[in-house]
Amino acid sequence: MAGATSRMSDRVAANPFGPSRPGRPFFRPHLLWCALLGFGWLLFPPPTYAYIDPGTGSYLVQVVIAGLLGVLVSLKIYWARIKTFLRGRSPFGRNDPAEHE
Amino acid sequence: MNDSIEALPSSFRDPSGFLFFDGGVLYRQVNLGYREDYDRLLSSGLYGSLVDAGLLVAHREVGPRPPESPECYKVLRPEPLPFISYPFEWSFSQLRDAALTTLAIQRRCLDRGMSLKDSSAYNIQFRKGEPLLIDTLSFERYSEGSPWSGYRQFCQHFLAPLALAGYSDVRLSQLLRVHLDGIPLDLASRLLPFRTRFRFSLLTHLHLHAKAQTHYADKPGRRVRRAVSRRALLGLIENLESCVGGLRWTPPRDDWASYYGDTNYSDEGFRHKQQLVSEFLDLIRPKPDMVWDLGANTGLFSRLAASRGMTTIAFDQDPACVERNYRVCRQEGITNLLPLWVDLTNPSPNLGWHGRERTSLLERGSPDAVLALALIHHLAIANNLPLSRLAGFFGELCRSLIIEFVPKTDSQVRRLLASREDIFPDYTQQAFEQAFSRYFEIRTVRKISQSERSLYQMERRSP
Repeated sequence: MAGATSRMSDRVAANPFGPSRPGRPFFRPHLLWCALLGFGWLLFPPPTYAYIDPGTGSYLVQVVIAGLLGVLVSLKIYWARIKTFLRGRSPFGRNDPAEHE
Repeated sequence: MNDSIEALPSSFRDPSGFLFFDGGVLYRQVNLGYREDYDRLLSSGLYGSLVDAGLLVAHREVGPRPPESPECYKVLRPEPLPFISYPFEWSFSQLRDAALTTLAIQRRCLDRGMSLKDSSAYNIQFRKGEPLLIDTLSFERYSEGSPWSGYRQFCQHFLAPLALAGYSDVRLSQLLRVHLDGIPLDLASRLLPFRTRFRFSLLTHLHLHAKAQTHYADKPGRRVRRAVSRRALLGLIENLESCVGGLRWTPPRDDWASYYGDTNYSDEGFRHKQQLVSEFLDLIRPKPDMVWDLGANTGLFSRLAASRGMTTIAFDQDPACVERNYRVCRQEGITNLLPLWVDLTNPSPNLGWHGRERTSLLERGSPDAVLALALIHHLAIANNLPLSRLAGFFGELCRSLIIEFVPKTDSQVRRLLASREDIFPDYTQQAFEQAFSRYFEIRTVRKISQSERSLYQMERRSP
């Protein structure tokens, strides 16, 4: 974890997002830190100790399958949002009853 | 744990607490090490939500049972259940409903910042006809990124036997009796037909899962730390739900399940038998709380007992009969009848550590009354059991017995003897009465109209 953090700080120092405009930074450093730390925390969560052995193979399979299914769930959610948005703009959309009058 | 209270033999895996009996009442001790998880279960509203939905057994907190154990945080008195059954005694739909219940609980857990730390099928029981979780200590606080600790167990305890039953043979779910921590996934993967690899959920949760388990089995124990987001976990649960929900097993039509329809009774004879069984059940005093129907078929006669408010367990050796019985109970909302898949000539034995972790069928309950209808000839003739041993068995089992004697002249017995030598000169009604009179007092005997058969109501003799 400590190694990962130091590597992250190197990347932050190099500013991969390019030069920022004077007076109005493109990406505020503390926000970037938070995002990277949050991402790092997600990648390397504290170890979980279960009284039953989850099994290394089972653990890895779960990570891969759940990751894939998580993407699908996200796509489903975004698709639903797009549909709601489009319906809202439609002349017969449910979101604006006034349009039916 | 202290000297005066002793944990149940099955209650040793989880350091969070244990079950024990005190004065014939079942209690659950919550250990101090589980304090924060237990408090969160209650404060998050998860306990209330699960109990209200009938998904978790209710309990009330009682004072510590004397003398107090140093590691005791709380002592709970769970709502008692009339009977404990095991997953290898369930029909296909019972196991599937239990699996879906586990997933429904895990979904609610994630909504309230908790997770199931195990998903053992033995933690699910049937109460009032519905599956529910009985282990109040199965919950842990969820931290974002953590995987589901119960995933492996879910696949081994539920998904593998259900897939094997649905795609290969329903009898393969009996592998649960040999493998107490669920069917090994490499074995399930080998036994499943190749076409199951074309179904995404079975390919991943069973076949690839089995490969990964085998691949990492002999690798040095390196700690894997990768994240599974909450959304990903919900995706996993949703996928498992649709996978389990999509598994089907249709009982064959040409089996015992059609026994009532195509054999030995005229309509009038059948109605008469139903009427006699009802009359005999009403004669039993005191009224039985627990009735076991042995060789219950699809449970037509079990329902006569259940309709009188008696908790009834219907055992049959044919999975198709048990499956149909369960489906009818669910459809008709019969809540005090539990169908179970048990072969009476080889009932569930003591299993697990020290031979005590899972108790034998006969140690798990003692019925007040037993129905043994159209059963005796199968045991005596198809299984060569002497009448004296049968009488001894029933004499040990129950105080009231309703039993049907099927003579050699009956079409069913003739069928049993058609392809074998008749080595049963002692199988007569007189010998039957003599054998059973040793243990029971015969109260009533009635001939079933338009048949060769007789129905007996007996009461056990005082020792």
